[in-house]
Amino acid sequence: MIKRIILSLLIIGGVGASAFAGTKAIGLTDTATLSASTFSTGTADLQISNGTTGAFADSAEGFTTSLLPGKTFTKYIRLRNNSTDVDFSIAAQATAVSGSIEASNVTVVFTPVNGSEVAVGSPVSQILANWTTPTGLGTPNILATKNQEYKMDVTLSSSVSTPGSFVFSFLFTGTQFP
Amino acid sequence: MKKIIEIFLIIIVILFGTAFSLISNRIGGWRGFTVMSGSMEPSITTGSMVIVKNVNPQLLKKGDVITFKRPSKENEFITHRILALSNKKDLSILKTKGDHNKEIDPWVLAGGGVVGKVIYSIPYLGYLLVFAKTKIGITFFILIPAFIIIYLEVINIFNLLKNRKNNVSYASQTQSLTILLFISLLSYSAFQPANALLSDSASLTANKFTVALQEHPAQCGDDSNIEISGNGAGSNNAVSVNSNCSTIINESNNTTITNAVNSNSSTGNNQVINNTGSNSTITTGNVNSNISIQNK
Repeated sequence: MIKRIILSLLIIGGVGASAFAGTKAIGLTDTATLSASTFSTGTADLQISNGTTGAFADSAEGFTTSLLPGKTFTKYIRLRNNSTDVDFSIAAQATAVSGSIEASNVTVVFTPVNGSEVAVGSPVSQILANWTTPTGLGTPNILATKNQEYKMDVTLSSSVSTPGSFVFSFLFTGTQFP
Repeated sequence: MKKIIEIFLIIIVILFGTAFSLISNRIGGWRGFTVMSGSMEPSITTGSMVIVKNVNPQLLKKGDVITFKRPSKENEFITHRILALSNKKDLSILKTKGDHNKEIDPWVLAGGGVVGKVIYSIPYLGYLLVFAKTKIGITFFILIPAFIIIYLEVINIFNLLKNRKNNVSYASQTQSLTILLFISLLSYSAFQPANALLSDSASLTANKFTVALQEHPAQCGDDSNIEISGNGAGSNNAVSVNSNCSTIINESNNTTITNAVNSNSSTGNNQVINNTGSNSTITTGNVNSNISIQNK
């Protein structure tokens, strides 16, 4: 009988310990862990609009302008998360960089702004040469069905001493978040 | 025989159940992940469970579906397909892409970040596993069975103390519930979410800049706007504008000039006095009027 009682006590202890360990390991009290287990069945769709108004599309024609050494050209663009249930974090990458002006002499800054061009996030600044590696634009992320406007500042180094030109495109990638 | 099975199950529950929970998700190089989104559709649907086997990254090849740690995200796992692969000495460099995504993933993956190669995919099982991780699922799959087992064992102890005979169905109940609890713990421990990461891209194309070294030189036709502001009474403000403009003005003027000249000439007071009865003659000097008109 004693053995049987000990066996029962072991079962109680073992089951209790296992249940406790199991619930603790998977974070029963961690609401973040639980809430993160969300399935996304939709399709990712990111679109762009060149300017503060206008239609969105998968691709937008860039701008053509002149620039003096030491001067900054400012342009506003908008990105739209056209997905139904997928939130995006945004990364930008310079592509097709060409021209006689060295990419190291050009600085590009993206600042997330609201509709009144007031910053709503931190600017991300680096030289054009470094933008050829995808770089996150930080918060705010773009929630499903929402738009986000960005101010794009292009500054030419004052050390440039010869006339020339430079051309680049930007590829914006929205990646599911979280 | 029943006691042997029961003891065996207890050992399994205590050792393996707890160990799997704490070791966190590794069983002999195999791991399970729940696919949370549809970037690998249609080959792997949302809610599938993928079974991943740890392999040497050097043995991977283009087209393999792998699960890897997302760069810069320590606890986030992605299941995507290898788009390109290169092996340089002991280092494997991979580019990956979700089958359903238009763009390749925005990172270059080192072989060390690969958790393993996807060997099996079981549709829909992930939904059950994720449900089991909810509070309702935990209650249903762990807490209630655990409570029932503990309750039955307590009753058993009371019966033994009162020297009563055990209920015949008790042993089978305990065994089945123990097995259920073990499976539950194993499931929770062995499988975790993997975001089959969705992504899309948009492009701003052909931004063209022409670089000049200075503004175009001022021309005579340009406007010059000079503003003096903030100056108080009595202040001395000087503005100097240098303009090297030559201005040629051609004028044609039509002028009508009427010159009216009145000229009175007098020879003086010529008088003849007391010349009675005789003829008198006065000879005056010449009268000259010099009038000069110049219209320019």
